[in-house]
Amino acid sequence: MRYVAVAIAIGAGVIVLIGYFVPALDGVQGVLLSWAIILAGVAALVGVFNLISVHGDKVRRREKGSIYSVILLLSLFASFIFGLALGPDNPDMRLLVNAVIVPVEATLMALLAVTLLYAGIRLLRRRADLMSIIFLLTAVLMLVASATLPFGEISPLNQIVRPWIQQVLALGGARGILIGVALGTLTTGLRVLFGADRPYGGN
Amino acid sequence: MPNLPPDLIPGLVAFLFTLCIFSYLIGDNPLFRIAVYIFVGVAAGYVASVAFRQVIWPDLLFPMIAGPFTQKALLTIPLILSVLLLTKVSPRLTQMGMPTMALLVGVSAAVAVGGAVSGTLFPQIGATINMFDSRSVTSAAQWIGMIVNGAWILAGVATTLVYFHFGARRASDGSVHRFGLIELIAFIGGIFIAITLGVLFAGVYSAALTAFIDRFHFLGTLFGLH
Amino acid sequence: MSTIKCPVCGEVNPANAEFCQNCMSRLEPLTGPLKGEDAPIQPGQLPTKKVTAELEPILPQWLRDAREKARQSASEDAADSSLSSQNAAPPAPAAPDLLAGLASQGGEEEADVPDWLVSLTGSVPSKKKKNEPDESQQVKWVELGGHEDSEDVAPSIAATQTPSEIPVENTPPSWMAPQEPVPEKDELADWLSRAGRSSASPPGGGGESVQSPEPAAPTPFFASSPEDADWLKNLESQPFGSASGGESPSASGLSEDRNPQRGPAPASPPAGDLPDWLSKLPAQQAAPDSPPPSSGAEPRVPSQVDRFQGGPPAQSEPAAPAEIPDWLKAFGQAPVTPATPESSSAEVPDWLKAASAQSGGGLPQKGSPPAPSPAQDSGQTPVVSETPDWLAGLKPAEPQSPTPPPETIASAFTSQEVSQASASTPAFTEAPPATGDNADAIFGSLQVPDWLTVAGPKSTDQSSSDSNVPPQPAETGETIAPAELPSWVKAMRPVESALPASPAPGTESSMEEAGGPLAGLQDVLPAGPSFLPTSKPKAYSIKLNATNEHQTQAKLLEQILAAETAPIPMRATPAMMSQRVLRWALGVLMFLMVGGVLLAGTQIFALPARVPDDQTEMAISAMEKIPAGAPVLAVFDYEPSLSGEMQTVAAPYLSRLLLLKHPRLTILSSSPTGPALAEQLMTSLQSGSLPVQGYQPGRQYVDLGYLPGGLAGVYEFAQDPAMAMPLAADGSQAWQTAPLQGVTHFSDFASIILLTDSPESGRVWIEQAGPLRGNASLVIVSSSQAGPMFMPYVASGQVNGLINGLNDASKVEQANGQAGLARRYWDAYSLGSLLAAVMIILGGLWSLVSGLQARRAEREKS
Repeated sequence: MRYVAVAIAIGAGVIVLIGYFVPALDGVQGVLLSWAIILAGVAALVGVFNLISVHGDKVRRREKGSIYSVILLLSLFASFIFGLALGPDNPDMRLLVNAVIVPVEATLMALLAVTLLYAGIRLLRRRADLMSIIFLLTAVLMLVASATLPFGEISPLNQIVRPWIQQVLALGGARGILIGVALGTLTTGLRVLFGADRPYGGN
Repeated sequence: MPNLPPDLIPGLVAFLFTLCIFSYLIGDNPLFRIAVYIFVGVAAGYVASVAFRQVIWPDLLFPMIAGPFTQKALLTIPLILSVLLLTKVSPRLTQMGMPTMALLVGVSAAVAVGGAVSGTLFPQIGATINMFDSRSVTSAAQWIGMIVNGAWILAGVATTLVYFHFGARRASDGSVHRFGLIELIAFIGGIFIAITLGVLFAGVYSAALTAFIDRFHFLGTLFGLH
Repeated sequence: MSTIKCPVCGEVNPANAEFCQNCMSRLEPLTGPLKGEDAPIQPGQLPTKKVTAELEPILPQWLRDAREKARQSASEDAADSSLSSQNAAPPAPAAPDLLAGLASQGGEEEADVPDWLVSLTGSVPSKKKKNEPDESQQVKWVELGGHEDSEDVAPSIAATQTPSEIPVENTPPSWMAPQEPVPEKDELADWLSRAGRSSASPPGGGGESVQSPEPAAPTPFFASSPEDADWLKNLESQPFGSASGGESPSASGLSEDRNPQRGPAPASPPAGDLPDWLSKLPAQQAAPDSPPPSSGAEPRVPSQVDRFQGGPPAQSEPAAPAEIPDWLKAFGQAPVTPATPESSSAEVPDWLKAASAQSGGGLPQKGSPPAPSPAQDSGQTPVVSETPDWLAGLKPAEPQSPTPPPETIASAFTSQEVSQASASTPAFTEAPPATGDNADAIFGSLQVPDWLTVAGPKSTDQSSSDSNVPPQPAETGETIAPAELPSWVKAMRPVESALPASPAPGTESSMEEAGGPLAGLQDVLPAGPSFLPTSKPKAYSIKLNATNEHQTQAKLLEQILAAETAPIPMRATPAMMSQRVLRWALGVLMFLMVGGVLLAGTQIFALPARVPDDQTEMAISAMEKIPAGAPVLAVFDYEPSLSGEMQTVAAPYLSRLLLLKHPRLTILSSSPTGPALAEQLMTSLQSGSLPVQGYQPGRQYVDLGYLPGGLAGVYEFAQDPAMAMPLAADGSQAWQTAPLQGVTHFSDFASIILLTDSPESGRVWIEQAGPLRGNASLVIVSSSQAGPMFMPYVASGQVNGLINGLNDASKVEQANGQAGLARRYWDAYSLGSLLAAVMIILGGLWSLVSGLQARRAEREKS
């Protein structure tokens, strides 16, 4: 099984990669990609099943806080059954999304504003070095420069400092990060294609 | 029963959930937990229904039932792989899903490599070089600005990349240090990275602040406060 | 059908059962790695068949000849029994106890039982209790691995000991002392007995041995039938070689006991015929002058003896020197003149003399028995001038046996006292265990190994110098040096592990007989299975053999574990409180200021001014270039968490696009919740500040739904959109709908508008779909948290425009000329941003100062 998995990973990966440069392999590449799409959908389903399994075990073992797992399972089965029956594009399902998913996630994101503010205040207590100071100063400058005053912009900040930081300094750093990420992706992907890394469990 | 606005009940439910989540500012409490667990369950169920109704059924199961022979033949392999992938739910049979995961990982790795090379590496490196292209410059001030900004960007890119260079050698006293020049460049790169992260921090805070405002806007709209 | 009693629970089981049907305990103890097949017969254990014919060729020629002769002599009385049938004959299953027949007879003729035997039987209960292991022994058993294991071993040792060894070891008389058990000797004797048993006699040793004309002499002694002179005389008349017959002494003798009809010996000797010395024995045994037992091994009388007694354990009790019968005294006082100066014939047992005579003056002689039976041993030994009447019949055998070579005699029994012990032993000891000494005697007379030659002169000197005085046990013990067996004997020995050379420490001198003929003796009776509490469970060793170092390490590990689980007190409780208070304060501040400003609906903060050629203007410009009615792909790639911001940012741009260009819109989502969010946005556009009317799903726009697969899905969609997403979210054929008319490739879209809140997902679209978009513009509408990471792509031209966050959205609204949500949010947003900046500055300074103070305090403290 292990060697089969490695062979599948390398074979499929090489075919898809060559398909970038060899148009003749577009057909095979497309088939593999369509399979990957289907399997990714199944993987999402597997993830949900795993969630059911985990919380089902908690309920069976009557662990502390298993009542929350019961609530989770009930809500999961309810939405899943309604989703299967009605379809996710059904207006009632959209109501479910708008009434539960969006409010909770958006409110959690709103809580992040308080948390980030608190973290910014506490940062220098935990780590008072040059990088932290630069980090906070940049953040403060960007916050101030992105805001306006009741009677107009803070011109130097809005018109000069903010664009320059965002389009020059931060761009240089972001580009370096992006190139670094791309290099990391390249090496990691090649290691997978060469079989050196087997994150699918083939080790 | 009086006629209620169609959005009233979902609005009230959303309001309750909003309050429950906001209660976390006081501290962890059962209301917050209940809201989060319900949210996770509903989201998971919704995702599962979407995956089945919009992917598995139309792309796999339905063609296997009503599709042409060639399509059935082509879909036989993903069907088998899907069954194998479902075995990962069981810890005992998790090894059976290895081929499926291998296919996903292999394809994704190849796509990532191709995309990184063609979508980021070459274009971004080229853009960094082209920052000093003076063909579009029409004035000296613009040229100076281009050179200065290009130099800053180049410095930022180079020093940031050097910052992620972790090659080092052991000194005579046993300590491990990077080469002196590399260390200096990496320090500058750290500054660029700190600036970039500061900008990102401000952006994240702005996004969170916007979400905070949006929640208040929702409450105001629900209760007609504005 | 024979049965066997479980030594643990007492359950009666079939004889062929290996484990108890009740408690699943092993019925026959294992005495060696081969399931005890090589071990001697245990008390209460049926003899097992042992095919040793394969060992025959390796025997010396003389031994083979002797064995052959023994077979011949045995076949005289058992005409129907061939050698093969004897080997194949199963052990007598009906008699689990080899002495059962005798025991029953003894019971029947209880009136004829001599006094000493009566006293033996009368002390049964107390002896049983006495024989129960004391606490120390039990502990020892636990340490050794089990009670039963120890029990198994002990009888084995006893069973393999010669009759002379047992009393010598357990009885204090000095004249018996030289018979210290020599383990090697025991093993040799055991081996010899079993070798003879397997080859010349059947394993059971029952019927076949009975047919031997030589009766088992000890048996009559146990049966207290000294008047068995008749059968002893018959025995005497038998050729010595044929009498021994290479049979197992124990088997031959005991088998005869089992079958009294066959042998003359067990025929219930009348008590009145008991000789005087025997009648005096009980009193002698009770004499308190018995010295304490040696600290060596504790041989225990085999259980056959116990069962023979009908319950009370019969133990060999040697007579005290002071109470030696007349005939024994005479034996000592009138030694036979030795033929050679080195040895005295008086010290030589008569049976040995006979053996020597048959072997031709000490040299091995073909046809001589290799291992005389204990009957011979005990019966012929007293053939001296003072021999009792009942043994007189044996006396004629003495002249027939010339004096054996001194070394032979000395090596066989080492001294005169040994022979005396041998002579007196049968009166108290069962005959079978005499095997070892007899075998040694025979071998000693035939071949003189080194260890015998070394031991011979020593003992001879002793005996010659002090023939009347019993030698000290230690001397004799030294005489017969252990562990010097000939190599060929070693090779043929049974499993050594089953027969420990020396008793385990801690088992000695713990049991003292309280009454009966063995009163005052210690450890003369084994703790056989029948004496054990039947309900005692198996005990296994639970004692960990840990050294001090191990214990120290274990203690250290315990400390480490205890330290890991010990709760660590919270060090900075005030700080935690201050943090919580700070968080509450920030929350309240945000609620009041931001919420208040928003709910107040103020629009006093100025909007940010549009900047020419910035990313927002680029996005607007890219939109301007889209042909009217062209296909536009809108990718919804954000999560519900930022749906509020994304809708606020995307609404003005999409409204402007839809109102100005009336594109055929295709909606795609790479997030599962994307389709719902897209539908929500499209709904909000219809009722927004810049209402977009007339856009209906399926006609003006189509929702392709959720595109799984991450970057693979994106790349597949960019490669072949129709293959990747053939159906719309509602299940219809998407590529046949009006919005997608004329679109077959990704590059057929006039513009791709990516609405994303994540740098990663935006990068995926840029990397995978960007190169394939052709002339289509790519505009990103992003959350403010992802915008900075898209700036490089904007600068490189891979992205044609970027609308980043609320700030840029307000600019688009300005471009639209219609205030929307961005404007509504702007005051709260600006106030919140400024509030955050101020709080970070002030709080950061406070944190910096307090942190420095804390670190300084820590440095001072340290």
